[in-house]
Amino acid sequence: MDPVLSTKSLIKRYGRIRALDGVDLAIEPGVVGLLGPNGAGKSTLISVLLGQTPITSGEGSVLGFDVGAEQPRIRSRVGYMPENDCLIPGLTGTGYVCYAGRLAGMSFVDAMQRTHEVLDYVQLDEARYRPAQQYSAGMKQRLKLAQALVHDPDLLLLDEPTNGMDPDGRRVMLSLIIDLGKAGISVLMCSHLLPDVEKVCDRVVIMGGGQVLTSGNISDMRRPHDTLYSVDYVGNTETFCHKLRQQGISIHAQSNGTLDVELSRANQQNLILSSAQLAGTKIRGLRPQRSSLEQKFMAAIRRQENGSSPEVRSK
Amino acid sequence: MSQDTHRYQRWPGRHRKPSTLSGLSAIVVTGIRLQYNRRFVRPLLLAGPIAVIGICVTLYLLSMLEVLAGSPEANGLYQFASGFLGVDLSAVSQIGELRGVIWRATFALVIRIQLFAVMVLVARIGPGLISDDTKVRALSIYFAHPVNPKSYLLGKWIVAATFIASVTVIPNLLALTIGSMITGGLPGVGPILTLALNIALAGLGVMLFSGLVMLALSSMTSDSRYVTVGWLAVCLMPAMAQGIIRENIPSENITGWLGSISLMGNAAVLTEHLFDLKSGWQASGLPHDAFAKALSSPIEPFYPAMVLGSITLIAGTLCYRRIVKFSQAAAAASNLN
Amino acid sequence: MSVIELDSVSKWYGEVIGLNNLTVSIGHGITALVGPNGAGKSTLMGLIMGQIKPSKGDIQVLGQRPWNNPHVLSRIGYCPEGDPFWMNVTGRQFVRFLARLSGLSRRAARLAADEAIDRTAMTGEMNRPIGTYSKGMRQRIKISQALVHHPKLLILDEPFTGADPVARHELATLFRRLADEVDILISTHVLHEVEAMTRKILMIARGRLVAEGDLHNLRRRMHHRPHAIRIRLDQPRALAAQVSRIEAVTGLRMPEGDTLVVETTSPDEVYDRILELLLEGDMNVREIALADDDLEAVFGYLTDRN
Repeated sequence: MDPVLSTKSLIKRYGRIRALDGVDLAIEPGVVGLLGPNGAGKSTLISVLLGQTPITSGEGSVLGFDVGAEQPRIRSRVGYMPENDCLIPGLTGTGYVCYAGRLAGMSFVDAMQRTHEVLDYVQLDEARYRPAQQYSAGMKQRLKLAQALVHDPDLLLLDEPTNGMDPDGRRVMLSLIIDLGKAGISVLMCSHLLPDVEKVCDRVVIMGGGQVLTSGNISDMRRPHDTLYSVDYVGNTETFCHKLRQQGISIHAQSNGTLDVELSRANQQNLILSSAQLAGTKIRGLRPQRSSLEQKFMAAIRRQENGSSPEVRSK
Repeated sequence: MSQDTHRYQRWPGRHRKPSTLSGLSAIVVTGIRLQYNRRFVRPLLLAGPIAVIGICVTLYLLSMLEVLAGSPEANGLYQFASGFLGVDLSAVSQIGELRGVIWRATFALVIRIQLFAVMVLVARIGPGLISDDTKVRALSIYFAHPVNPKSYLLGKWIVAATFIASVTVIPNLLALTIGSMITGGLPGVGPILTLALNIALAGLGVMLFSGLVMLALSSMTSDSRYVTVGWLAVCLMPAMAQGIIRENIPSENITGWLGSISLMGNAAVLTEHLFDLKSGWQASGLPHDAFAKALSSPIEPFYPAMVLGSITLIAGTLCYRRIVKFSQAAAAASNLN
Repeated sequence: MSVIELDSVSKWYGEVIGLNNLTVSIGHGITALVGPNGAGKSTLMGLIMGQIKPSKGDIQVLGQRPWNNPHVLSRIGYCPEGDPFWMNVTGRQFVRFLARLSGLSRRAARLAADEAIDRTAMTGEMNRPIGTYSKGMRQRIKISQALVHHPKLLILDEPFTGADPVARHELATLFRRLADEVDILISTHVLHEVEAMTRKILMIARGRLVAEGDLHNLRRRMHHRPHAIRIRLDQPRALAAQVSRIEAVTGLRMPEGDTLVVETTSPDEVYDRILELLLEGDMNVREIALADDDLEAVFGYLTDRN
């Protein structure tokens, strides 16, 4: 498949600061998470991809169009949902989404029809006729998504789509993003909330110091462990631990009702169950440990900090 | 075919080639609607119809005066006009021959009055034009669409210009048409067209100056209240400064730059020259010093034109550069504190 | 002894409800205050700090009524949401100034500020202007400020908002460490972080108490909901055949090839039976857990209107 966006040794300098320091990316269609600490260059990258920030050197293309020369074509096929409020004062929900459609080049009739379709899709009902500034945080966020979808883009750029939302609002937003991915729209989602990224993204790209530190499939990053398990239980901890040790199972950590254990070989989980039975302990959960995205993220950042960081080089 | 609204539906419509024209018209239409819904804007727009009625009534009264010229009933009106202009008008008997001059003077006077309406109206509709977008960082929405800084600024300027035109050029041209119909108009097509052209030129000048200065102010801060204050200061402070200068310096020394400080005064000087009131006055046979006394100070039009023109130019450059800067980091700006 | 004690406290703002008849006691350690937007979290924090007077009911914070009581306030450290607004003063000056405001002498303020900064591991950065700090550092200097007068109770309002994963990790570690010395009440949207810090939850929605206590017990106490136990193993159909004979089982699903979901109203009994069956049949189980006992799922159940 052709990549939806690709960059080759992309560099963006602001004076002596290198916001982007040689970014090489080839992102295939799908839902992709763009991660990195503040100042990693994610926002600058998005700005470059939208053709807003002129690049210092290198090349980049979005949906096959060059970021420098074919900026209007890119923008008419890309939907962008900014992080901050950006609701123009005085507009209703409908007016706002329709305005975005008109800005993207749709006729008024097309834009209005599409506006109501996407507002149905993001579940904004009668509220769409109210001024958007009165909306709750979750509604504003869904309105911003509708605004990015109105012209039916092929690629969505989402900047912190779940930041500051309560769990209910976040669940709705994440399910919308999953559905958009299934409908064949590619999504590039910047987020600090790694559990959200784990839920919706197929792949992640981790940036730091203006460079791509690592990238890969979420499922590879979160493969369950063969021998490391977490056990939830009710009952006497001492006897349970004793029985487990007798079976050659080592105990790594214990906290209120949960044990982290390691089997000597894979596929011996029944040893845990039988130990519990012998100890009279009731097991209430048995889960293989997974390496989390957070661990991957922290490891990538730490590796970069220990190595030569671009900030040091620019000095 | 039933549609499941909970699943995303692709749009079967045709994607047009991106054109800046669609975006421009959206900015203009939405901008006008937003500003029109502000408080006090609709009452202020009444200045348009009021001007139409006022001009038409004046033109009709003037035509009555021509009919009555020489009769005893006209004396009262003459005396009133003399008191108003401070000039003895009894020397002018053939008022009908001076209709062109009088109409030009009328429109010049009306435009001067309309400048106040423009000042107040622009103070209402202008401040939010750009600052509302920068306040909520909505510029990232514009520049994520096929909109470039030029079309953004042009759209915003057309919004301001539309409002200004609706209390200046449009009512004036309308009144000229209606006035010509009820009074028989000016002799020949030429003078009427020249007058219409002059009205349009004066209006364009007002639209350019007020529109661009307001956009520049609006792009400089994200709080529209400061913009209002700044706009009123720009309009009124020079006039106050000019007043202080007039108090303290003998009037014959106030020429050139020194006399071109007040923006309103400059506009008045320029309209006088545009409507060619001086030659009209001379054609009436009235003494020259009476003209200076009645209408204006003896300032050459070059200086006021330079002052207003350079302010417009600076304002235009300033807001264009601001918007270009915003547009280049619209997405990145959200994280740069 | 509990740190905060609320006895049928209600607060209305005119017609608008802030809190309705809240009776709860908050103990030592870290307590997470969670709830949707507009649930009354800010009202509750305002009441605890004595900034808001309850319309009805009684509050005791550290053994006293907080309303208009500087004595209580002097033993609470508060860390508001958002950025500290002085960007061009250094972290040290910022904390010193606030220490002076809390009534310390110039000398004492200096010592207290340096000590509070040390407690949040900000000593290395304390001489840089706040404007140059990252989100996590700003949050930490705000916490230093709240700690400077040695409070017994620390109240943190949405400390994780906008922080990147590195900062989140640092903050969660810091809070766990501080919890040994001071009791902490944290309001937050991000339930994932809560689970990493504490299991003590106080959940409110629409001004009412929805749930309080230990996370795992919360789920178990919701007996009116059917529980779903998810089991991953090699031969789910063999197990399903046997499980279907247990009376308490109300439903069986096999959403994926290797997964069996057992629905029941009495999970304890069914759990034990399933474990026995697994051992008897020597089936190689890979995972067994309540389908949704994480905080997010509990939150969803409890705040759902339907």
